[in-house]
Amino acid sequence: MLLESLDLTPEELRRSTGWEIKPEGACKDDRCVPLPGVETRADGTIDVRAFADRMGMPVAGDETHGLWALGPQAGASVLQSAQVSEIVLPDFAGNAFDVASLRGRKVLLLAWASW
Amino acid sequence: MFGMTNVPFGVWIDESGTIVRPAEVGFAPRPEPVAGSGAPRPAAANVDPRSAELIKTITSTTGDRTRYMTAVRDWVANGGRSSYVLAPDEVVRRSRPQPPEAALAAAEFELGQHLHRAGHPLDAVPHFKRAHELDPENWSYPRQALSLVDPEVGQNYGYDVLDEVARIGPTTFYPPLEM
Repeated sequence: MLLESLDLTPEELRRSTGWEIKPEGACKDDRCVPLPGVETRADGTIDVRAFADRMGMPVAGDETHGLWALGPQAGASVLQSAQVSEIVLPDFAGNAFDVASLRGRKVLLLAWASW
Repeated sequence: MFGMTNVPFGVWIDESGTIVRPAEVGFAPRPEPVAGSGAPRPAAANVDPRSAELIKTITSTTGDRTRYMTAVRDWVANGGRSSYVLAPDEVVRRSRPQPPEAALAAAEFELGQHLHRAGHPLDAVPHFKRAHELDPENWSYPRQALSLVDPEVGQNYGYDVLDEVARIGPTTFYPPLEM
């Protein structure tokens, strides 16, 4: 996920990453990860680098363009669960297509290229 | 996404939104061109001998290309009773490892794609290169980066994909199917 700042409010962080900052840590779905040492500053922002470090999420940066990308959580494997997370992709017309709209049907998600 | 490292890769998701087969090579049989039809010849027939040999090695891991389609048809017909359906723990176990280097590669590649789309193709190149260095067996990075090359700009990524395949290991290009 792309970020234009490494100082985000908890709400901006939630919108960007899906992780909500609560007293017990960063929470998403039924998981909470403790965040010792990561606190909301007086100006209401959180240090994204400190958050990412605690979460095992790498940060890549491009100083020239003032852009950063927060990578996925490093871990034993890409999938932490067999349950599909939210996937919304653009269709041929550029409209957002939510794969969850296909619940109740089998889905073969095939990545393909024409070259 | 899902640990796909090349194309074609497929993931099976059942009616409840549960992945029942993780990302894996998903070839469909390719029909033989009909003689005299004007259909293009396979790419391997039009390249130099060294590249042809390398392509042959790469594609040798795909084996019988009807296997994946046979498995898909079995799943469609038999649903959860299909012998190809995997338990959730096995799906997770078979999904690709994601060490810190691979996670950082994903971030670098996202930056590169964004910069390219935003009209800064040359600024995207270092990020594409870094993604490949960090996660060399993820072939979707160099293949996607090369597909974005603008001939007018003429940038290159400092490597040839086939040379890289030879250096890193041809069998990483299409990991053999476990089915």
